[in-house]
Amino acid sequence: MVRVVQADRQHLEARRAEVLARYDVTLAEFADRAAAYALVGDEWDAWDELRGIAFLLDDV
Amino acid sequence: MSDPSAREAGFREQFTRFAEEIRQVVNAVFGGDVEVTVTDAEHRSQIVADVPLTVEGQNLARLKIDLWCCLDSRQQYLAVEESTYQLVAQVDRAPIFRFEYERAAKSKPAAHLQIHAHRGALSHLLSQARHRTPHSMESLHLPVGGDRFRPCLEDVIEFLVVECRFDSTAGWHAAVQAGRERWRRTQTRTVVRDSPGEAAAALRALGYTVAAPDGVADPQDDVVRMRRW
Repeated sequence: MVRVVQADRQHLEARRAEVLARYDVTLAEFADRAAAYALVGDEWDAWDELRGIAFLLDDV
Repeated sequence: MSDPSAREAGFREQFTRFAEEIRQVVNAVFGGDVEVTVTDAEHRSQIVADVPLTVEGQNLARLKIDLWCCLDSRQQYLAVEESTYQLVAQVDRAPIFRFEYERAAKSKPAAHLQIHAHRGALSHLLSQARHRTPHSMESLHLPVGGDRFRPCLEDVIEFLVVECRFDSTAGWHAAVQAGRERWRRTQTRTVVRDSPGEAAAALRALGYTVAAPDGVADPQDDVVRMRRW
């Protein structure tokens, strides 16, 4: 099935904070590690999710 | 369609239909009942799907699909802002390859393939060339056809079935062919909009009578788009 989720800014920002807290990093630190191709394991999924949130928030 | 709410509703309809087409093709090829999630924000939406890939029933990897969509510059058609189709290994949860498209890419090809692998000779070569990350093959963006001629999801799926030999259903090929045909028809229409002059010339060569709209002397081709990396 196709599941449709309506996401507002508050929800997306909360989710972003949750992902960053899990890895205990700031968004800038995560971005630096991604730019240096230094991500490992689950960090790839987390980075994809953070980028997706930035797109939905028009923060790209 | 000038009413913003009607335009937004039309966008959502196009987007949900697109997500449903993705769901149908992955389930037709790999079996199971993969869920496709659409996250809908104001004027923007994201489609995400994780497709388990098995060999003789053993789950070894997943095909991760991620598309970011919005309305195109004419506020009329659904446009893919970015897309990623990646093969992710279960063993280390990291990508093996990523087919990506970035509509606004500037310093790399808009449609590209990144391969997560190592090759000593390449690292040596890139080191000599003072590349910023010579040991990361994935930092190279291999061009794959630009905005209009890039591979579609069905091309990646066929690669996974035929070359990587992941499990598939008996009817996988028909589903892939139908999806690819749909993609290429859509891209053909888009290419015609990019270069109506070429389209008109090709049709005239086939014997069609083609007339420019009133007030249009020469069809305006989107030369910037046609020259883009």
